[in-house]
Amino acid sequence: MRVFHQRDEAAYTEFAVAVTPRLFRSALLMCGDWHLAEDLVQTTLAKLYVAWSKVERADSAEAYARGTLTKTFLSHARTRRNSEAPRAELPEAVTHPDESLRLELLEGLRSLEPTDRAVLVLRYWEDRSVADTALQTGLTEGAVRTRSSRALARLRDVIGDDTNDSRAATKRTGTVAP
Amino acid sequence: MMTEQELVQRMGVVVDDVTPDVHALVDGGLAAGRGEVRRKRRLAVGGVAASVALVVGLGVAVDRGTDLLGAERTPPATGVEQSDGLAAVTPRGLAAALESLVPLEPYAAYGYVVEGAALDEPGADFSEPATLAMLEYQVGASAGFINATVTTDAAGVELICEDPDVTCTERVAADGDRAVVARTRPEPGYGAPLDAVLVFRADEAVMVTSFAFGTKDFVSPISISDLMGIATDPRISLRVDPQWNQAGELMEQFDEGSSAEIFADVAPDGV
Repeated sequence: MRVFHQRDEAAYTEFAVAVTPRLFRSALLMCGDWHLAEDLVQTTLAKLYVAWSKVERADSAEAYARGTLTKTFLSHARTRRNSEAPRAELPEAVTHPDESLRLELLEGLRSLEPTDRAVLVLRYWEDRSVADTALQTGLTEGAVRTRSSRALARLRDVIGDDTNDSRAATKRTGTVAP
Repeated sequence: MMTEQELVQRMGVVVDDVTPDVHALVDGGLAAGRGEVRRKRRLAVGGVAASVALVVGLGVAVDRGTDLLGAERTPPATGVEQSDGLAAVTPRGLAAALESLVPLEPYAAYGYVVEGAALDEPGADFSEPATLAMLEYQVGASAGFINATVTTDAAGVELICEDPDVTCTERVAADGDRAVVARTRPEPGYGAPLDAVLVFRADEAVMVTSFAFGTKDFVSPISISDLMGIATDPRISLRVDPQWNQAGELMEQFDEGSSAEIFADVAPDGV
């Protein structure tokens, strides 16, 4: 029994600094809004601080953090769905050489339900398994498969099949977990 | 047709180059986390001296109205008599032993066991079993409580006494064991005032507390000296004379449940 944890803030801070960029990128893909992504990440970091002893004991602290982010996003989406819509715009200071491609994808993601966005980000961007994605989103594995397929098809409809886009092809290669 | 791999590539185009203000986010998360921890400390433990969280198992759960202590509640204490004539204490047995040491007439008693549960909250992390018993009595217009907690993990007990609401004093118990006296008087609205004595024995830690809801000017009917006497009494232990377990079985108005269940009934709104 520990009556009170002697909080290891140094370890927390080190972890938070390391994981924040990756959390932010996932958050941005999920919500499409720079400022909201910042809020989601900050809220996630606060939750991780509160639960730090559990984070430390987790098999993967980063997986725990990403799960917390997903839940934070879905919770936000549920409570704000009637009052807020995600914006694709990033701050003016953020410049991007592939602006049209970036906006196109964010627009496409924005057309999806928040849960579908989360499924796509978890399954493909974070390379999570169907089972893990189901766990993080509260869906069944069957629902994850269905939503993945449906959301991807919806994205194809919205942003087209520009498969020869060399800018994208050179950026990143990915494999999808089973 | 856009494949899954191509979606990943496009996602990379969108976010690979973004550079959030990491230190601002971490600082913000740290500040918010600290604030949340402090709030939980104050509201936790049944609103009782959360700043010290001395009443370990009374539970952060009250704040959420849920049982955060986990599903595992199988008492480590079976009450089976050991070769030395002592038996593992049950919550009821601990309550009966506590009642025998408190010169007050309780009108309700509570108890439960926490074993192997880990909270995702600060304040309580039960890697070892803890048995808790609590007596409720009337103090003025408020409900007062005397709580006893015993646990095997004496070496793992830590205290944080730097909270401004808390005064901690190191003592040496009459039998030579290390003891700590903690008194907390939180700001109104942030939990109940509490007096506590912790005694660290060779193979167990004992904690006895006195607190009350609904009164900021709490004057415990049990003195620190009384609390020390209770905490050092061999009846308040993980292993007791079997008669106390038997006496516990006969206790009336005994509620064996979680802290959430207990305090849902007795804690005033806002605590």
